[in-house]
Amino acid sequence: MTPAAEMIDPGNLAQTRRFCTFVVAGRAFAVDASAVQEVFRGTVTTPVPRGPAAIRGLLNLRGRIVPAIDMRRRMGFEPIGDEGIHVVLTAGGETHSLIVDALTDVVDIPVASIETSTVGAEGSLGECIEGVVAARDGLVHLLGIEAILAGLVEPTVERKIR
Amino acid sequence: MNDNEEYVREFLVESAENLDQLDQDLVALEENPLDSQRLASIFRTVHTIKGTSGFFGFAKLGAITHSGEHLLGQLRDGKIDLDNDVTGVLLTLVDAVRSILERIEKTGGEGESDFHDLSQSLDRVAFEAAQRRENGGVVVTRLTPPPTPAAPLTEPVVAAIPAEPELPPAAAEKTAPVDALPPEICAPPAIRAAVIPDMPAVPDLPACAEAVEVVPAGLSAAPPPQPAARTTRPAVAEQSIRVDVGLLGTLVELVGELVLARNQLESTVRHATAARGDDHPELLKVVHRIDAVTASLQAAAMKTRMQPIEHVFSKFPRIVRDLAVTCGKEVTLEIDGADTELDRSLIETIRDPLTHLVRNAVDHGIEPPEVRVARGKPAAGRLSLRAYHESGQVMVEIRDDGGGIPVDAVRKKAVAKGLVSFEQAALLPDERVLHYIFEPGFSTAAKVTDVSGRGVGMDVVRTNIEAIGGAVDIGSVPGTGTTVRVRIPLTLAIIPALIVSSGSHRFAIPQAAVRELIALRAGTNGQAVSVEGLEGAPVMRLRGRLLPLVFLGELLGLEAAAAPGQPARGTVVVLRSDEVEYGLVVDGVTVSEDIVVKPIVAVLVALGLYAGATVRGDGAVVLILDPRGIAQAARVPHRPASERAAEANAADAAPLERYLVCESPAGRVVAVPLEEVARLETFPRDRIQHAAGQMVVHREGRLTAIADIDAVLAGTPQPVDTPAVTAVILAATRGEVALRVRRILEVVTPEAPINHGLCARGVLGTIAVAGRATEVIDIRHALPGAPPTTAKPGVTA
Repeated sequence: MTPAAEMIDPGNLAQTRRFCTFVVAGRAFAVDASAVQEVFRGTVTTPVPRGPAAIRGLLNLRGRIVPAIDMRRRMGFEPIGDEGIHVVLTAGGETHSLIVDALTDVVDIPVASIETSTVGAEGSLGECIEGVVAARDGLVHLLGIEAILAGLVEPTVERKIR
Repeated sequence: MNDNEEYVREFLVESAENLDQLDQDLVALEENPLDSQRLASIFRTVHTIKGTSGFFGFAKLGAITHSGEHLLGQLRDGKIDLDNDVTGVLLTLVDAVRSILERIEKTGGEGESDFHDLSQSLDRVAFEAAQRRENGGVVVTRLTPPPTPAAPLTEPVVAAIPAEPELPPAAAEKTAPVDALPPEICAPPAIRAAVIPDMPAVPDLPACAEAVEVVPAGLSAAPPPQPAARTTRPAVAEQSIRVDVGLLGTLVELVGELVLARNQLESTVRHATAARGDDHPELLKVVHRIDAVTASLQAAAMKTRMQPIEHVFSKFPRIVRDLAVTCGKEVTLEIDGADTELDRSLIETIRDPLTHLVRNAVDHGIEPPEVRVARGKPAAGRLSLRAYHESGQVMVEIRDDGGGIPVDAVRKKAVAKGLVSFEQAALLPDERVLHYIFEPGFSTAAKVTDVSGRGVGMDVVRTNIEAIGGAVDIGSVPGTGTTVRVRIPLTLAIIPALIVSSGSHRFAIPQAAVRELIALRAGTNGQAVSVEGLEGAPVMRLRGRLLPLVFLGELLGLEAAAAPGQPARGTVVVLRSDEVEYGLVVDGVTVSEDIVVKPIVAVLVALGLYAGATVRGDGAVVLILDPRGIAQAARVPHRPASERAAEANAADAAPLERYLVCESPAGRVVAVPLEEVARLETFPRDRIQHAAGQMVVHREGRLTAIADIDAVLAGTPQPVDTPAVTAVILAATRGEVALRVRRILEVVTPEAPINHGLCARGVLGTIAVAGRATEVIDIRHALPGAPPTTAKPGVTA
């Protein structure tokens, strides 16, 4: 009997990827939809003193403690208000919530159309972007979850504590 | 295909358990090669894996287990003897099987690795061992007659039969060696029971093809096995089922949610009924019922997290055996209390530290056989592992009878590394010196061996254990052995904690680290507490010692700090670990309660300030402070080793008496032995009456005499001029006495015992509180005139 794994050809399955698209500071972004657990509107009550600036606070998600990342701050935009749309996603065994301005859609994007060489974006915005896709209304920036999380650890944290 | 995958998964889970058992069995068999029961068990396990691998088409697995089975068959039939070579190659087989199974679990296939060599060496060892035997090796006298070669494999199956009275005659013919069979096989442990009874009789040593036909029945959902096997299946197998760990985790999480919902329900109902002015007894009844059921459910769900420590211990026989062979030592391992239960999440955390300690004991502790013999010890060293419950914690003791730790070498090394001055080191007792081996980069091993001393030292052991709120202690007698004691909290999931506030923020502090709470007040007038600046760092004078202070709000950037010397308000939470002691200044202490510890993401753990988070009854998330991390972040200096040493000595001596220090109505600071204090109370002035020439208070349906310190000490009783009276209720032999005070100051443990020479009427003696002489009230004479008999027998009864 042939083991199941050998019958799957990864090349055939990866023709399109499903993305969840949203708006932050007037721009279109997207994350891999398979990582997204749920989306809801809400506020964060518990800030994390001395924590990364982009972490707005902690959420109680049905008993699970989930940090909420303010995507405006994470990508270097001007932060606004306490409200926001939480896009909860799981990566590397940990669950985080991305706070975005508005949710747009769930779309299937052909892998071939993803442009991975990002042009123009630098700094904290650039380090989150994994690729770009041309959509009807303009460019959609694909965000890498690992990249978003990796950039949370700021070198300044060590300095802040005397 | 889906069904098949499920069978494969079941096979993997079962095999993983069987392999662990195999490790233990092989090591045990080496100790006692005549243990035919164990040999039969090993044979059975290997046979089952072989049969199942044939069924699923795992050819490599089939090939090596076939060779292994052959070797085991030779052993069982007494054709070869068990020696180091045989055990070694069998253990290699177990490792190979394990690696193939892991591969299957990950990829679904057996992988590319070639195990042909292993098959060959299994066959070669079988052949060579047989040769040795023929060439006049020692002939082993077997305790039990070897089973007839014709029916070797019927052993496990027929074994199930004796309890069954109506034996089919055909089967009975094959049960010739039954009386030689071990009772253990008739009542196998739960895990094996699930596998064996379903295995139908195979008439002789099976070819793979036969096994293939047989095994699926055992693997399918649960078809009724043969009646004979069913009746002898131990009840325990039917009372426990295998449950996915993730599912249990979900269950516990959901129960946590239910607890929160219950809390919300209660408060909502309370508000609703209050608003409508309607008690609604029926509704309240239902709420109470839900409350009770939720509490029971929570307790039951938490219990599912508990696991015996055996899950860690079971790996040690194999580890110790392999290590002893590598180091050329002889070690007897004794395990006690393997059924001691603790939280599953802790089991994984303590695995590495305990393994390290066990490796250390074999590698560094136990001497080589020739050295032992020269020292008049038995050649084989003894390593004992013991787990037991002690006051809500689990203790694990790792004890060896080896050479012990050279204390003087540790002392020298500590001085050389600048951890302690030469003079201090000389004064330190041996027990304290030993603690230096927990310092980073500390190793006294003469040479770095392959086994230990690879950088993962005792400091990591201590760090890991302390990370879960445990502690490590070490004792060693040169020439006699070393004992390491590891203290582990029973569960990580629910811990008692103090909820404190700083500004608008709330935090939880694990109660285990909290030594005492002190109210911080401005000014120094008659008070023991004041904040001073010492080279810019705030400190507090506490019982004659300087306690470093950390202002939580300042550290976390929540508010501006009070300048040194300026009035500071709040509460000092005195936190202590082995290394540091400091006062954490918070705005207030809200409550002490049990909290459910929830993990936080790695990024936040890396901050070093928080140990986790919890959800309070109202659903709010609260961060749990990490007392060690906060000390590090605030650069709290380590406690001097001499102080820690003195403390260790003091702990051994009788505990010092503690006193409650309070201020009398006239402003005198006095102390009362804490053990005589029943409780503190405040009652309204109008409850005070006068009877038999003294003040009494009517409380709890009886009269209690009020003692007036000022009247005793200075002869001028103070009038009761406040609307409420604070009193220290003392438990006297003939009823309680209320000692009227203006306010309570603190609880102290004086460094020197009470001086009874400095006494007077009503004064038991004098103690030093923060350098000030403080009188200790003698309650027997605290009342003017008559002893406290005001509480009449008729009333108190």
